[in-house]
Amino acid sequence: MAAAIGAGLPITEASGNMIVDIGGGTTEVAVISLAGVVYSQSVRIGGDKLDESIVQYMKRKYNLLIGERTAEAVKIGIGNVYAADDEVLSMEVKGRDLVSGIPKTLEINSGEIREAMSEPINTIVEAVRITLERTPPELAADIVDKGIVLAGGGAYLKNLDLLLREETGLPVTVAEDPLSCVVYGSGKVLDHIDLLRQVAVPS
Amino acid sequence: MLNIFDALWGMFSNDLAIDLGTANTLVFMKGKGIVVSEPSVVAVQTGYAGQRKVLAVGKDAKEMLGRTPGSITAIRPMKDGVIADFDYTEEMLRYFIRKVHNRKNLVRPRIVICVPSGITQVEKRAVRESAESAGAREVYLIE
Repeated sequence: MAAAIGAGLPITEASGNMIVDIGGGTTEVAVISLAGVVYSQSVRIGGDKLDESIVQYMKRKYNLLIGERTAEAVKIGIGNVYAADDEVLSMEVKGRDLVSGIPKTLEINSGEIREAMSEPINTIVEAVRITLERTPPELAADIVDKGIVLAGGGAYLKNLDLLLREETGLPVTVAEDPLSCVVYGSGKVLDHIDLLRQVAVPS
Repeated sequence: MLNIFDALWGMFSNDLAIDLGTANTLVFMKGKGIVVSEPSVVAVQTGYAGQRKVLAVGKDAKEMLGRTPGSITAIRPMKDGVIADFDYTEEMLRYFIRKVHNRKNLVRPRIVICVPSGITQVEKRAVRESAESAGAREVYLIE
């Protein structure tokens, strides 16, 4: 919800807005209308899971054990989720060889990283698809026009918007400054106390 | 009557919005923009008698991740989108709130905290209470 406000979506209007917030630990897909969540889906896949899948991939394929921070650097550096062009980036990765036990350096390319991340990425795509399936038709019609907005750190993943466009056929946009979207959204409601009371979680 | 006070307080208080994220925690201050943007990591040192103390929070703690000796653990209290470690989440939240809101400021801030949507009642309460103990006047949670 906060991400949607931060992305500048007209959430208080009677029309459907779809937001996909890919955070560190979870990905949340929500359809929002009239300042309320109509349908939402949350999956435990986020940046951390992507890093982990890169670690697993390196272990399986090269017997190279790398740290989570290295994996994150690889993801940010050359991560790519959809082969849009022929551009192949490569990067040196340092870690410990599992067979010899000695630290070593390897060269990997973006195609391999795409393969490594494909499973968690598919789960995210699936969550988006399920949400679309369960969205009431009037709101679905709005989403066809307005498309899907991506927020959260995961929105920085290269070509994720292209992949989702390909999978759903809907227009996909990345929110301006996706990382700070949520906090800007929360900041915005501070100025509108009535809106805040409306969207706050009851306790 | 209460409303008059509220309005008065509102004028002086620096209301905060906090995105309590798994990877990064961001704090937004009304009128100032984003004042904190740091990784959600806490480094804890265990003393010889088993007492634990918080060594670093945020960027400094992230540097320590995966590079710690036995006596120090760098943890991410919000792993997997839920609060994995109550105490340290509270500690971290308090640290960030104190950092931006010095106690000399008499007026206590209104705080909006953004939590993951799958959060349980117990966790909501924990977040709310830790913000209150860190000096919040009113706490609102949004998803």
